[in-house]
Amino acid sequence: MIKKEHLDSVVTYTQGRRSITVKLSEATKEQLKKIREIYPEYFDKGSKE
Amino acid sequence: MALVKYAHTCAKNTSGASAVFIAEIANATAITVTSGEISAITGTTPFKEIDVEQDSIKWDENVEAVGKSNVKVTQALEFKIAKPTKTSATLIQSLMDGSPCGFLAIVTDGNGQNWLVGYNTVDGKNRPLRLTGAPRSTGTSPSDEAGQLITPTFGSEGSGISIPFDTTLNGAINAGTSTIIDWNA
Repeated sequence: MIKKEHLDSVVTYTQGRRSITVKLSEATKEQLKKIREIYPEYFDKGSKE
Repeated sequence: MALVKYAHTCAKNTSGASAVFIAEIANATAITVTSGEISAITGTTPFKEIDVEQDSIKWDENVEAVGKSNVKVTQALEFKIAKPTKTSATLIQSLMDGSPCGFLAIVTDGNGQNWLVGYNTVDGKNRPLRLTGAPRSTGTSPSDEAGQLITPTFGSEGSGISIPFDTTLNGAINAGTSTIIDWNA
C-alpha cells in the first residue's frame, strides 16, 4: 500500500533510455514495483503494491 | 488543475540569484514531487557546485501562449565564471560533452528558495537544459569589466514550469549539507 501522504506524489524514474513520470495513485502495478525499489519509504512496510 | 486563489505575503522579496548547481540528466536517477514541491532526488551527488561570479546568475522562465489552446515554457539560464584557466576549460568541455543528453540545474533565487530547472511534471526529464553557448572574450583593456569572463548559457523549451524544493531539501541546500550536491571544498 502506498502511504497516504504519497498518494498524490509524482515520481520520475528512468527505464532504459526513457524517462517515466507518474502519479503514485495512478501508477500501474509494474510501475509501483519499480518505484518501490527506488523509494521503499513511500510504501507501508510489509505491504504489497 | 482547477483555478486556485492566491494570497499575498507581506515579506521582503529580493531579486537576483546566488548559487547554481548543475547535474547531467542521467545522474539524477529519480525525482519526486509532493504537493507541488521537489521532495526527493536520487543519484550519487548528481549536482556539481559551480562557483560563479557574484550577481552573474540569471534565470528566466517565460510562459507563452501557442495559438489558443497551448502554452509553452522557455527556460534560459546563464552565469559567469572566471578566470580562463585549465579548470574553466575543463568545465566548459564537460558542459559541451554533456549537452546532447542534457542537464538539470538547481538555482537559488534571491529569496533563498531553490528551484529545479530543466525538469517539470509534464515533460519529466525529457526536455532538459542544453548548453546554448559559452562565449568568452579577453576584453580590450584592463578597464574592460566584461573581459576574461566566460558566460555559459543554457536553454530549453517545454510544457511545464519549474518546481521549488520543499522546506527540508531547501534548508539542506542552503546550509551546504545536501547530499544531492557535490560541494566544493
